Amino acid sequence: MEQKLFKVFVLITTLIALKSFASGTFYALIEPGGTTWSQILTFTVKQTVKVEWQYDETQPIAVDRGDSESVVGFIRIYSNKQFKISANVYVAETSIQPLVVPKQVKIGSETIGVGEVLVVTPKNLQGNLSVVFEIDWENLQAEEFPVVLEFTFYPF
Amino acid sequence: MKKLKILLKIHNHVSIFGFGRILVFLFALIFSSLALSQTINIEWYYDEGTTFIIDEIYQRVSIGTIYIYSNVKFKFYVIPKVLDVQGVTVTGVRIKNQFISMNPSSPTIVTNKWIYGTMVIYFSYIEPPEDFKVEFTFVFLPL
Repeated sequence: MEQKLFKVFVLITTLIALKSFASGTFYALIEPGGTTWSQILTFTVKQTVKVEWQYDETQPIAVDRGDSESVVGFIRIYSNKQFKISANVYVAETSIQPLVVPKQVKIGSETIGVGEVLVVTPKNLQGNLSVVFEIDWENLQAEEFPVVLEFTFYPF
Repeated sequence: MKKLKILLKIHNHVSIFGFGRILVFLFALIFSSLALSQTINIEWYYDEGTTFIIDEIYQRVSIGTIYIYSNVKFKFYVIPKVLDVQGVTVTGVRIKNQFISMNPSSPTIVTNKWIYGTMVIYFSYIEPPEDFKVEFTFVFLPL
């Protein structure tokens, strides 16, 4: 009895599995003037992002004492579709964190505030990358300190 | 006994001159309609509601398996219509190794009564488009 029930169970699950397998059928007579069948399908292109930088990321980058801006070098960010970008900049060393506060990132003529999202309309963003800080020059002792630049890309 | 003979006579009469003829006529009708009715069957083994992801390098996408068969030889063509975007064209519809005609005046001829295989759609665009829909209209004609 149990074996029979099991067999029925297997049969039913197989039938459900077959049924849920995406498919469909169409049947018609071919008319002399032609028989039509149409189907609407949706297509998409996977979005990608490419970043190119023309600076040596291992070399120390000078910060201008006047406007606390640091010009990093040329960068190019481009995608096959429109995208959104956000920038996060942070100072790794905790002792320096209160003295050096990153404010914004500039790429060419575009400015991205730290933690803000920028909509990139022509699919690409290029130009000189620079970081603007707010620095307490009076109390800053360290000559060099690492800064992490983190970019996040979102679909439009 | 007499009654039965009369009945038989009537029956014979009917079967030769009436009922038999109707039967023959009916058979002829059935056979002729069977011979004339050309049917088309399509079975597709993919989810038509899903979003198909185009291969960026080759600008093509594999839809899934399709099986088109008939009881007779037939010919067909496909008209693809890009619905939502501009600048995208469908350059080809292929089932297994066969590119399906997109020209109504020279349809693809299927002499073995069936075509089976993976359907692949070829696109052409310069700028990658946003998501879009394409209506594929298949037209089947008797050969």
